[in-house]
Amino acid sequence: MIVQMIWQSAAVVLGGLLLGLVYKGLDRKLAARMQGRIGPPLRQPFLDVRKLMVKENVVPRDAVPWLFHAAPILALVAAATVLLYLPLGGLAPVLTGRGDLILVLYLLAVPAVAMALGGFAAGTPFSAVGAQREIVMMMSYEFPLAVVVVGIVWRTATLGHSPAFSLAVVSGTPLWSLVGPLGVLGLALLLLCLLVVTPAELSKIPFDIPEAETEIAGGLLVEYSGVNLALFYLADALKTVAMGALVVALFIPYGLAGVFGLEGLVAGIVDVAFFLVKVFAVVFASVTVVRVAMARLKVDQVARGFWIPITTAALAGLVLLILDKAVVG
Amino acid sequence: MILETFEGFWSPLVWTAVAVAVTLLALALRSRGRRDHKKGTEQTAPFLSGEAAPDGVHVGGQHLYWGFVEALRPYIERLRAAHTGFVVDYVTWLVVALAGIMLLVLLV
Repeated sequence: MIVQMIWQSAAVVLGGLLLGLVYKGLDRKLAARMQGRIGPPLRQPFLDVRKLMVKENVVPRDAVPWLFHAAPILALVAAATVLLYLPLGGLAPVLTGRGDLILVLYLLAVPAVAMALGGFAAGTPFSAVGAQREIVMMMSYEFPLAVVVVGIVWRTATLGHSPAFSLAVVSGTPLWSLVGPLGVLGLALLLLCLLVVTPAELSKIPFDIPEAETEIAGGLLVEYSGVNLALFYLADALKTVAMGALVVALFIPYGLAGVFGLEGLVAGIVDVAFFLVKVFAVVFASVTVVRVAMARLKVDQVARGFWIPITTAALAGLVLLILDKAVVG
Repeated sequence: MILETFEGFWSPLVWTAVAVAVTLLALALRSRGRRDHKKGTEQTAPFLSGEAAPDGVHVGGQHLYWGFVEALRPYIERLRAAHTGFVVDYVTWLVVALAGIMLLVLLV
């Protein structure tokens, strides 16, 4: 049992790394095509990591070295472990029964905290400003994200499914077909909010304020180089997959095997393949298209945007789900 | 060991074990990369877009705090306005908030 869990965990972490880098390659290629450019080859993220491994690992003279080195490892550890609690297609989470949605929310926040710590530990102006912006961003998007999760979990619990914070339970209870029209509207609002939170979680345009290359030259990552930067890069790849998988688990946990009446190994392969397509669709819709279509927002616009319109929309979704429960039961 | 509430659960030991394993993986990855750099040269100077960096240049705490205040100004202004210093005001806030929560609980 334990040996099987170890192998599964290793496969998910390494598979997540590969998949995250492939998604990064696809994201860059498709964004380039949308901008009328050829773009880099799909394997460019792999080449980037390889190149970073042979570059010098510079530590700024005013840095706190142990914290500066620890931050990328902390980010990678949190981003990798979160994948083990998420259902992957028709497969239950590797660590099913050993961690719930609350844990996933906390683990998703850790890479951002680690980046902020690394930025402060670098001890330079641009990195400190970037780190400060990262914390403001977290303060902005965490509340609507929590409202989305609570809304889904609460409605799942009212339908008699328990334990409601279990991802296996939530993904095994697709709400769209179990709620009435008000509930569908509420779910649509919550999905919209989560799709807006996704690029903020991943610090992508229009929420790339902590890095803001054209403004603060990379912000909290400006002093990172070599293998430390490669570790942050890999953590970002993993977190991209994790966010996509979370959206899929909460809102589109459907498989194809049941539709075509497939069973056994073939059913598993088809559902995992369909899951990968769904994760890519989420990343494409909420990251690639948005970052091509929009410019960077200012940090006060992000704070105001998440706290007022997005939180209001999420709360409205939650209220609609409550009304739906009152009407449908 | 699994810590459980009514609807949630997690096992800190399992997470710690997995975190240690991934840390070892990350350290193995780090050991494959270069570890050196040119200490005591311009390479380690803070990046300031080409400007000369004097010793000990950093953003002070009060400036970082100014950044937080500016980014969250509408929220902080409301908080400041709410902090009147009168205990009666604070107790009123508490009573109103509790009444709101109880109403919500009763409705749901």
